[in-house]
Amino acid sequence: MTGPLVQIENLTVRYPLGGGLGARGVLGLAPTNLEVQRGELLAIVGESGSGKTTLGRAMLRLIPAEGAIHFDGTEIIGLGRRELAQMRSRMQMIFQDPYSSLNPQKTVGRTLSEVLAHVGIPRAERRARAEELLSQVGLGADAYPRLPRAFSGGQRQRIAIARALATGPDLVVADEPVSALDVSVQAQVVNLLLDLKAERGLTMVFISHDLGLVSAIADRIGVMYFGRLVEIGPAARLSRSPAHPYTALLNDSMPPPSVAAARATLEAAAQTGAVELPSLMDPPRGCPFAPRCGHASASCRETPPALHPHPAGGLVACHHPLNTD
Amino acid sequence: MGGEVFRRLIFLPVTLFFVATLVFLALRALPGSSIELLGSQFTTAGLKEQLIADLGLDKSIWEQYGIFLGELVRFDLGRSFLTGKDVSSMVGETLPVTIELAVASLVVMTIAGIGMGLLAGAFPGTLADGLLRTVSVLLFSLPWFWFGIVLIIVFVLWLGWFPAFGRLPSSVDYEAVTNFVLIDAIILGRFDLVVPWLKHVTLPALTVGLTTSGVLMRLTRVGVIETAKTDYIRTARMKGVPGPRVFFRHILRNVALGILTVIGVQFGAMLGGSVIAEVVFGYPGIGRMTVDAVLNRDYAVAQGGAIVIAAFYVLINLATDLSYRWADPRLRRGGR
Amino acid sequence: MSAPLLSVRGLTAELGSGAQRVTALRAVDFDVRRGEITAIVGESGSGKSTAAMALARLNEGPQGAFSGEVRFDGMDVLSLNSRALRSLRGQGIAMVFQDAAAALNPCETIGDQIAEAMVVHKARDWRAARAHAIELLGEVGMPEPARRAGLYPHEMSGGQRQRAMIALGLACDPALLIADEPTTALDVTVQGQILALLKSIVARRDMGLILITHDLGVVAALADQVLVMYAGRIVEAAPVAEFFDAPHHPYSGDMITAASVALDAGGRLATIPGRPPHSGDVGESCAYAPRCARASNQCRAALPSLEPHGTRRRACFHPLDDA
Repeated sequence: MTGPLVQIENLTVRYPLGGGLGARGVLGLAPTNLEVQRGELLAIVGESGSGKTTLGRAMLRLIPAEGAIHFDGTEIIGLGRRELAQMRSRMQMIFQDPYSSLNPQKTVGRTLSEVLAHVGIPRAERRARAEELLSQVGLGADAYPRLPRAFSGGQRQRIAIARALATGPDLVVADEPVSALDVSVQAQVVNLLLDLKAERGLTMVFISHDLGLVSAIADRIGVMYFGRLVEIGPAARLSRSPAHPYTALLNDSMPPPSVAAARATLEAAAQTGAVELPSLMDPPRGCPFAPRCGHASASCRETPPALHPHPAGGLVACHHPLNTD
Repeated sequence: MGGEVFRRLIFLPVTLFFVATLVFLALRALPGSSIELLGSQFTTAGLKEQLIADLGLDKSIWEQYGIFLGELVRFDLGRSFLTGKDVSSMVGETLPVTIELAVASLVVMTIAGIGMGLLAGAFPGTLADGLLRTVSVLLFSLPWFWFGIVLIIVFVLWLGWFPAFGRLPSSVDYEAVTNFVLIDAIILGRFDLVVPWLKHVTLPALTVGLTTSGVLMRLTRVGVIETAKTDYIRTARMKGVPGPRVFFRHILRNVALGILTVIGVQFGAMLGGSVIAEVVFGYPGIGRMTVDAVLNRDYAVAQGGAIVIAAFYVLINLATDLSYRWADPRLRRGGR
Repeated sequence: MSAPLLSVRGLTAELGSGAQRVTALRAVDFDVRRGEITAIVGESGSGKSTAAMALARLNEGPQGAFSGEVRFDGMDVLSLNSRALRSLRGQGIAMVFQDAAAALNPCETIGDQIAEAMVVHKARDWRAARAHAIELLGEVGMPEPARRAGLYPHEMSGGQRQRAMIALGLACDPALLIADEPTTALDVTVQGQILALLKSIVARRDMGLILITHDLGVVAALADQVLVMYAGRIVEAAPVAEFFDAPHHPYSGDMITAASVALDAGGRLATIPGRPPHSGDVGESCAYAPRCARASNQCRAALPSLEPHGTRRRACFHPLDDA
């Protein structure tokens, strides 16, 4: 098979407002086009309210969405319940909070066996398969009979990863999989994901707020702002020469662990004005980043920029992209 | 918020339609009709048939249902076939009596429940807390009618402090205006009514109020304990706010929001509880009227009573939700 | 050099009840001066938040007891009566918490919450207190402070709530501000602004600031002094530049490497093996030994004490400056 594993066309999510009669909708995700190539690690980066989680969930049809999602050639938005259930085993999600994503009443073994049963593994083989999965994520077989509360946050996230792998997926969407973990444990879980991805030839969408982390591990990075994809391209290019002013702001906002560089970051942050996201109820006509942008012109406030190719690679939605030479 | 009220009000007739249908069918499903219960009292041969025709009992059950709904839409609840009285005016007489009792019960429940809950929540893990929790379990596990009878035995038969039956002594001459004793006492200047009424209402109100206070006590207690653990209470303590002020200004205000909903829901439940208290204490409210009507297969009265109780219940829940929205700034003034 | 504003000696905390009681802090020593920013760095269970709360005895009670000495502005904090303690909280020491959405009362306006501190401590009337609250909101960079004082916490953005939290802390002119992970719950583009605000306040008001964080980037940007905590103890204390130039404790070194987030030749991130100890897992040996590449039998047998070494202090048998 060739071509992208996932191809998304005009994927749009509207959240109902107020509910019930006469409800209006707000755009949680503006119409988005995106391809996820086979075997790549695509990172989706954004701050709260950027729509990154919405995109991840809509991609797996976990929330209602409009548009089209072609997964390995099959359009899944139009699929019925039964066909969707079959496709689901090929795409899995890992959530941020390892404490609420595991059922506290079920042993690790039971959680895994249920998933294995769901994909048709015969009863006799389930235990062996589950123990194999546990060892693959760096936990011993002794984890099998225990309840989630016996494990630390990092270990729980390993269990969640084992559960996601149990169906033998082609695509794993990991939504902030390490941000609830201690710094020294984060890298361990990221390494595990990288190893598993390499071993199994997985395609991975890694959703994160941490541009520094994903710059190190991703093949491509997509940056989201206010429900829109504003830039997407090779990871190295985005971190070295960002094209969208918002990507540049994200890049410059994280103080690195070095005194001189971190103090410079702080100086810059002190100069920037108050941070306000536009209102979802009353979205701006032009570019949503324009009110915070040092490069904004009249056209930015009037016309929303569409994604177009950037000379250094990737796509950017900006009327005045940076680093064009 | 206006839209929310509107939506909820639209559902009121729908709810009432289901209640009406249910009551209608349930009454018809009971063995024995009103005519049979009267049985031997018919002396003239033609009278029975005449009555059956008058009540429409000769028609098919679906025709009767159609007529019933038709009248209901015109707010015509029909007449009692036993007394010939207009059901609407019977409701007008008995509903205030029940509301009065429910409000008195609510007062008892609120004082007892919140009082015990605050005390237990302020000193969790102490002996007082343990005792109060035991009392609350006892209270909400007691059957209401049994508790009512115990109160009668102790306070009426042994101590003789309170009367056992009715709403006012038969010796009192009372020409009702609104049929709310306290309101009429002010309108008519009949303050002599107040003390006798209080004596009569005390035991039924204690029966309903105390048995429902256990739930409120537990919720208040848990609310106080949980709120005391929140970050914003830690902030208040870190501001150097004195303990009592933290308790009353910060903890209590936030707990009150949760309690308000419970009180509202319980008030609705009290209308139901009043039915039992009214029967035990011979209290002439809408509950007893409805129960009597069911026993006598007085269809129109039973249907009217049930529908009015249901409508009242729905309206109270609506009022509770609205008051909650008003009291909680997060709901009153939506997001940014 | 002037006398320190805050001086902590041998601070030890026992938390929890019954069999769960643990020693969450052990013999913690440090000083904070006016105008100086001291960062306490550590992972979960390191005791950094326990230490912060202990300074105002916030976690005291049946579930928590302290020993040692905390001297603040000449007062012996651990022996203050409840009245004096209340007066210390807010007026002497104020705290900014991590999650302002949870740390602000949802049922009271921002202005009233700030004003209450002044009403309680300075016996001001509400009118004057509210007016001053608006001034404070202006000082912390809140746009339209007069209008925002009338808002409830849920009506503000995360950054605004944290500014309000800081204004609340400043209400009674404290000499020491303790900020517990003040930017962790915020978006990255807002974090820098809040950090810059804290820095300018410390300079302008000549206050002491204790910054509790797990983020070495935040430490590098803001701190003058760094205290690294692990398993309830300080394992290294150093001026910030020297700390990042050449950490002495292997844990400090490993943390700095992990924080720089880069793939090695094998395509993997640098990690620290194992996991942070539970709060109170402090034995009679070096708590970091099980994760440490330099650990020897000595480390597993004895507890290294925190010894002065030049401008810093460190608790390690095999520090990184020993070749």
